[in-house]
Amino acid sequence: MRPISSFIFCLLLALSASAQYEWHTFPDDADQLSLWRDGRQLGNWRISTREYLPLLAPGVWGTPCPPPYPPPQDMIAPGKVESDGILNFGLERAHLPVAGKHLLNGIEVSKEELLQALGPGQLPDDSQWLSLTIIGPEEARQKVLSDLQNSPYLVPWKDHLKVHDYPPDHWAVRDAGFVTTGQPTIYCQASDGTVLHRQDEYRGPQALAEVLRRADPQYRPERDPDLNQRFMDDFPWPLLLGGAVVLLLLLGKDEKR
Amino acid sequence: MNQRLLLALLLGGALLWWYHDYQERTRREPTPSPPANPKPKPKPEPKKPHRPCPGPGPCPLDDKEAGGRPVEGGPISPDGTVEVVCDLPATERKKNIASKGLGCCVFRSIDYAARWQQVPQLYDLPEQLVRAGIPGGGYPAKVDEVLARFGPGVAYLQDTSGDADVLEAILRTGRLPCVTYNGHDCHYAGGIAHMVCLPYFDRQTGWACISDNNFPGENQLVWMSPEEFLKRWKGGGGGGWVFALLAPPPPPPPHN
Repeated sequence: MRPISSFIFCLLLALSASAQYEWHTFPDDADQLSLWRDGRQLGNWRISTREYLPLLAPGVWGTPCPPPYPPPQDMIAPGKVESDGILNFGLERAHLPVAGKHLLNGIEVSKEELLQALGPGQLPDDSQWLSLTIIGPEEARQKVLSDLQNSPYLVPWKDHLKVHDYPPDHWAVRDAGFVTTGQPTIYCQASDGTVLHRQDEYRGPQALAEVLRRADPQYRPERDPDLNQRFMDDFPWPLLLGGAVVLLLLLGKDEKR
Repeated sequence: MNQRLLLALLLGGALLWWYHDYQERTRREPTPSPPANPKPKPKPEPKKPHRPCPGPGPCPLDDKEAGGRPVEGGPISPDGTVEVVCDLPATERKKNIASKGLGCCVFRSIDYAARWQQVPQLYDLPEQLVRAGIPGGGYPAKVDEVLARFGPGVAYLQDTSGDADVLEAILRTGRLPCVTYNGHDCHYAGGIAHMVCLPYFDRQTGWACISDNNFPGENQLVWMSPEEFLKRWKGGGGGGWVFALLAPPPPPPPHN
């Protein structure tokens, strides 16, 4: 009997103690709640970071710690039980369209147009494009990005490359085997990840365009046009000489006769 | 036959052959030539035999043993045959939060896709909603509004037709789809209304995998058969909603 009565006493004490705590919202800051007890503010809870900061004295805040009283569940936990028993984590079910729609940037399109945005057509299927990855300090990356947009050497490549730039400590490159120490490091990769080219400094737009031309699997140097070449340089002289020999052989006198 | 005529014919033939080859070699094309046309992806190899379970704990069920039902796991499928297409590190996967009492699963899923495809305007989208005093809860038209406000110019698609071709098309290009999901898995005993990310879905390999923003741990991905996933995608109302950003995915790991 005694343990039960002490348990009930503790429960009542806890309930009365917890009843003294109150969470208040801020009219001008939706991201914060303040904890109050007996007319005194104890601290603040920041919703976005899930942190509680105790208010030690007016204007003096302590280091983050667990709150003495749990914040209201509907403010911090995203799940909400609806009338039909469904636990909702953030869908407005009443607004979900029943009839299927295909939307591209908010505009209704056909299924074909939607798939074209990922495949060949309006927006090209970039799954087989070369990847150009620039890794380095912000300033060094910006120089390359700017040239990719504006340099006449690189403009033709603008819409045929998957370009990414990352600071050296970014997760996408830090632990994936990329060299991140260049100023900047520039990778050119095939779609399967094969490194076709890497340089650890930027050598200018002309050199980069040359790299891209060579990395292009369709590139044939012998087919490069030379617009300075004159007509006479281009004339097939061996054909002319060979033709003359054939004519001599055909029309020349036969000495045996 | 006259030997001289024979010689002339041979020489003429050789000249013609040379000239044809010369023309081929010197044919001009516009430069720079665009990269190669996309080749169709090779068909996936048949499934490898089951891997032995090292123990001592219980081994994960493979698709046949589990009947394709959802199983928790890491980035590699329970039978070891496939790996997620979009392997966003767990350190980049924040938990779902509420804004004004409504969950932000839709916007947290978009946050995951933004981090995968490097669209910084949409990083921490739920926190941006909280700061702006915009309640959580999402549907396609609201996503249009939120993206117009927080990511103007960001290209994206939405589809509510429940067509699995769209999911496969998104993943084929390495992008991360965000999809509706109604639970009934190892994390939820009952029905839920939720949006999660889908880092793997392929009807040919027989696997689908979801990344749940309520369970963002490294080994808290949920693997299941495509059929089981499709039931859960379309089961929460709305007939199967998918969202995807059109920004390109990160580069593949480098190798020689």
